[in-house]
Formats: sequence, structure tokens, C-alpha cells
Amino acid sequence: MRTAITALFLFLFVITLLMAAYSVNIPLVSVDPVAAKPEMVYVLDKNNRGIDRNEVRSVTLTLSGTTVSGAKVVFYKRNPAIYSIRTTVLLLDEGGSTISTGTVCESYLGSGLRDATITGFSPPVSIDEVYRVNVEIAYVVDCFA
Amino acid sequence: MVRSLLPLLLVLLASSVAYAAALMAVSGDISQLGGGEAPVSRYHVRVLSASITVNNNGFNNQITGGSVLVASTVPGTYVLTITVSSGAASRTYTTTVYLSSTPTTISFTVTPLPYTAPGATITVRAEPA
Repeated sequence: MRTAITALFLFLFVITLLMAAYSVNIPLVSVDPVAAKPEMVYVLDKNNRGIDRNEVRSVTLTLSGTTVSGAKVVFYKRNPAIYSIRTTVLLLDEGGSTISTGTVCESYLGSGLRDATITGFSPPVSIDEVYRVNVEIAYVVDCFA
Repeated sequence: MVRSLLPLLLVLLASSVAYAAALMAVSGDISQLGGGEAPVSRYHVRVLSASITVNNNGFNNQITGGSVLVASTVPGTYVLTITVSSGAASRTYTTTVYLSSTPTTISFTVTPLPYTAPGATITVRAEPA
């Protein structure tokens, strides 16, 4: 009788260990990540001022590591005359403040898709600090004025 | 009587000690529960490119779709919501996609909406699926 009861308790002891080992095994990998920056906003410019009726079609940021190092903007130029266009890319933080700027000014001839390449942003910022990207294109009389 | 129950009491005591030890050993892996000290992944969505496609090159054209180049600092499956708005109109496109630190191009189409001055806004949002 005593042997049987001892065996029963030993059996329960083993079962207890097994339950302890497996029943508390919470799969932590299934925990969803927390959003630090769940979205980004891009604003593409379209002008309607005199001869300046151009519109941005795309913008691509280039990174050096995680630092935004450049941008390529593709826009559609409607007026075929030759004139200068200043392209500016503004990088904004979560609060809507501009934290970095890149710009380029060039003369363009003819109508159609044109591109502007920005080779540097000042000051350098990480892409993870950027919540909003504003792309502006504007007709200017003189790039050096 | 007491002598006969002594082995059982010893087994019960040993069981309790072993159970407590097992719980302590296992719970060492789950300090995230309640304590909040375990590192929970915090993801940053990186949208490296945004483009729109239009139905023609006239000034009163319409946006018909586009593409975005997206990455996330924490690999995983995300519900990606792309909202395009211009003027008073907006369109939303939703898809489920696996994102990692390597940028992925997501192309989308929307019901045409007028591309009006002063421009268009593209919002890209990712939530864990």
C-alpha cells in the first residue's frame, strides 16, 4: 500500500515538473512590435502660377547608412520655354518642423518629364527622424539671385 | 501512523521545492510580463520613395496609382495603408506585406482622383498584421 502511494506521488511529481516546464512557455516572438514611427508622409508639389504649372511625379531619397544623403525628384515640365527651376526637398520631424533641407536649381528646356538630383542635405539627419517629406519645385528667374 | 506518512510528506516537500525551482527557472525567461523591462521591438517605417502615375500630361490630369519603396527596422508582416489625397479627394489602398530592412516596392492603383494644385499628399502607414 505504502509503495503504491509513494509511486503515485512520484508520478504526480514528474507530471508537475512537466507542467511547470511547458505550461509557462509563453512564445515571446509573437509579441507585436511597438510602433516608434508607423508612418511617413510625402507631399508632392503642383504649381499653378503663370508659366509655372509644373508638377512633381516622384521623389526618391538616397541613404548613406541611415542618413539621408540625397534625393532624386522627377517632375513634369509643361511650358516648353527654357527657364530655371529650383527644387527643394524639406525633411520634417514628428512635430512638423523642418529638420533638414536639400535644394538644387537648374535650367530646363522643353516640356516633358525632367529630373532634379539633390546631392546633399543640411544638416544630416537619420531617416528614422523624418516623418514628412515635402517636395517643392518653383520657377525662378535666376538660380543665383 | 506518523512513521508511515513520513515518506509521503518528504515526497510532497520535495515536489513543492522542485515545482518552485522549475517555476523560477522558467519565469526567468518571461520578465517581459508585468515588469516591462524586456526589450520590446520598436519599429520605424522607412519610406524611401513615393511616386504617382497619372492618366495624362494635361494640367487637369488625374492620379491613377503609384508606388512606394518601403522598409521597416523590425522585420515582419504588416498591414500597409497608402492614402493619396489631392484637393478635397482622397483614395486609400491597403495591402498586407512582409517588410524588412531591405526596401520593398509596393505598387498600387486607385480610383482616379484629380491631381490639383497645390499638390498631392501620400501617406504610408504600416501596422503589425
